[in-house]
Amino acid sequence: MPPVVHFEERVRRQLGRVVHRELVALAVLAVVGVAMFLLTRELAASNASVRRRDAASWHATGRAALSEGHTERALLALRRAAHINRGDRDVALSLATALEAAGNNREAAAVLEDLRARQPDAADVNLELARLSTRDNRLPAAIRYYQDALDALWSPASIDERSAIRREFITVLTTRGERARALSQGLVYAAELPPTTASQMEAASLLLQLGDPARALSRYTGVLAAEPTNATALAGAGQAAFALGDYSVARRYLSQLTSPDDRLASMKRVAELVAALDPLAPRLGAGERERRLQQVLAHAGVRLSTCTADPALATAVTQLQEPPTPSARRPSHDAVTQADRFEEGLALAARVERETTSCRPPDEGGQAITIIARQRGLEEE
Amino acid sequence: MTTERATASALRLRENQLFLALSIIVGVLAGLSAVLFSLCIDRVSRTLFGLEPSAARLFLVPTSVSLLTGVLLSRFFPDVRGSGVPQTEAAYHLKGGVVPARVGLGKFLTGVLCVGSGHSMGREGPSVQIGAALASSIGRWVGVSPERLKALVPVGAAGALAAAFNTPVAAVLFALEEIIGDMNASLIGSAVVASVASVIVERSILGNEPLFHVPAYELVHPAELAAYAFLGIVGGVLSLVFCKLLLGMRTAFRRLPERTLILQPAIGGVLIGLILLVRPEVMGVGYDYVDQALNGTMLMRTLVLLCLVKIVATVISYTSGNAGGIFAPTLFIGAMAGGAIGTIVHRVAPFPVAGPGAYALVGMGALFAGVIRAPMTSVFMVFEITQDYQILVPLMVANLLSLVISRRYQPVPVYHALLQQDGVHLPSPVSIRPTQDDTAEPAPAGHTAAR
Repeated sequence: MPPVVHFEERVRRQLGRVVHRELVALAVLAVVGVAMFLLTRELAASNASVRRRDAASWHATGRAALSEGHTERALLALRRAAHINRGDRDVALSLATALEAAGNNREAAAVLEDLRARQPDAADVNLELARLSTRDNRLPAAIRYYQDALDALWSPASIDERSAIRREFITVLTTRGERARALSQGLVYAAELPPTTASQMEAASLLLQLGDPARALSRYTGVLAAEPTNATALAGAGQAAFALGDYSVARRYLSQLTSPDDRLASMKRVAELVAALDPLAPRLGAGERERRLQQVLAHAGVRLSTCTADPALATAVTQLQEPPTPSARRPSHDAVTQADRFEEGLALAARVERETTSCRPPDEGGQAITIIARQRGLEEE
Repeated sequence: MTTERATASALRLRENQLFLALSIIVGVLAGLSAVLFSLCIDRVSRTLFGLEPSAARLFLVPTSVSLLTGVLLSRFFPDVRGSGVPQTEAAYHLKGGVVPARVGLGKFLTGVLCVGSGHSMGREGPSVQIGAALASSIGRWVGVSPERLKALVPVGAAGALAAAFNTPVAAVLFALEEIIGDMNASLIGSAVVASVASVIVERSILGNEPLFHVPAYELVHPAELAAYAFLGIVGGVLSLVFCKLLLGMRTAFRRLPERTLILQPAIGGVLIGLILLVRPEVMGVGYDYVDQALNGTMLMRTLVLLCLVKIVATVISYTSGNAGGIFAPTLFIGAMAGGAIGTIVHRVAPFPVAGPGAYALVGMGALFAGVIRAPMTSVFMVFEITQDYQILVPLMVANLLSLVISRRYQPVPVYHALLQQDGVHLPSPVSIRPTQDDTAEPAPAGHTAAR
């Protein structure tokens, strides 16, 4: 007699057969899916490898064409390389260079901006953008990109490269009249340089150029302490001291130069004349003061004789050139009145220099007179 | 009797769960097939043409490969000529969702050969048909009910298109808008599941790279909308020209004696070979150049020339009976036309305007809306490509105008017209909508049991 099968049991068996068949089907499909996934992934990897090779080939072709000056051919090849290997930064940088060479700065900037969006701290990308912005006269953007390039992560091995970029940045700022920013970068640049003589000299030269003669002089004297006969340091120190208005120090350094060039020789003579012509210098006798005053006035007289100027000036010079009356030469004569005469003479000579500048540039004597007048507060800077 | 009812009820519950599992699996497999199809096309194209093809190769490759595909298409796979989207629509509406596995296989093989050998055709349409064939074959093998089998077709199509374009939302909309023909279809859930599964698989293999790399564009000045409207009109006219040429030329090819069927793809191959000698840019899908147009890096003359040559090349490739779609060519033509108009606007507009790339993007959408007649898919596809809302308003304006013009002068959508040429008449949207049973996701078990 066959066994009695309950209702639920029959349903369960019937359902079980169907479910079992479905589960098997799903499992088979899952296996097919996995196999297909692996196959597709392999093919994708293989295609990607081929594409990378193609991109490298186009990149090489483009670079070669670019170096040969075939910009259009280079652009075509590099565009293909960039399209195939979109994420490759070398390709993108080459493409940007080719675009710049073709005069398409807008697209070059777009390519670089795209790279920058992916790598905001990439120094070379920021640097290229900075150069591009500089060429397009977009100074605020150039400053931002240069700053980002400098603030990027630099390995200790590439510090020199960063210094070179900062130097470039300083040049850009200087030529665009951004002197304060240039000086600020110059100070950082100088601080980053190693303590070698050559580096200190470079730093001092840069600081002098950027309008910081005090720090420049300090660096030059540092070098001179180690190498007292270093001609470049002597010249630099002389110039820095001259710029600072310390003419006696300038004279001291410049006189140690054995064969100064024309400019330095002239600077030295001016510094010497500043010391030799000043009638108001301390610890001078009355005769010496008078002699110096007469020299200054004689220079002004020569100047007036060769250039047309206010006739009143010539009269004033002539009057002051007349020797003081005997009563005025007495020791009891009012010292203040005497000093006024020297000041008046110096101020007059400086005014003659100023008013005849358009006629003829001041000579060394004239420059010295102007400097002395400024030092004595008789002439405005 | 009671036993059978209880078993049936339990089975329906199982069927819902099974359909969900199948939607995921179909999505994954359709996505993989689309990716594999695309990779094979790339590999075949690279192998056949090399890195820098010579003139001889440019001419001989499409000619000789078309001879081979002509044999395959006439002897072994006669159902796989052309795009694949109309055939999928016919399978859904008229054949109960039955798409033979042979069709999928044939489409894959001939599609790879045709598009890979330089024919100016797209890979998305064939992907849709391959996805649909895969879904249908799986459904039949597992033994799902007829209504579930029919429902699997748009699910497979959505999965394939999502992977082909990397646009999951647009793929779902395309399945609803084009394949089913009803935006309210309740199959949306399954299509979304398949689309998401497909995109996950695609991105896990190819990475999350968008199809095109487009900078952020926006409407720069309100008056620019007039320029975009003009672009929409031009898009509509171009759509019309493209569709009329496509249908006219296809009619001409169909009038040729039947014995020439085997040689027709080769005739197309010869003509395409000649075109490639002059403008190799129109080869294959041409997305490289679309990308350039979208980034505004092409010259006006090149844009106009490529737009016109692409129309001619696509018409030749398609109507000569090769296997490949018109999605990609439509996008190409639209991008070139848009880029050209954008360049003109950029030169003459007295107000600030967006770059030519923005117009290329909108042009792409406008042509898609005009030719494919799927405006919502077009809007979402462009949005998914750009990830930018700013361009949507100009895009909708251009799409609308293009669609209106195209519809006014070519009332029958191009896919339906192609089917009509083959003697297949799809039900009109009006006749589809009332019978929700056709499109509705199969009702839950309880509901079905109550009926």
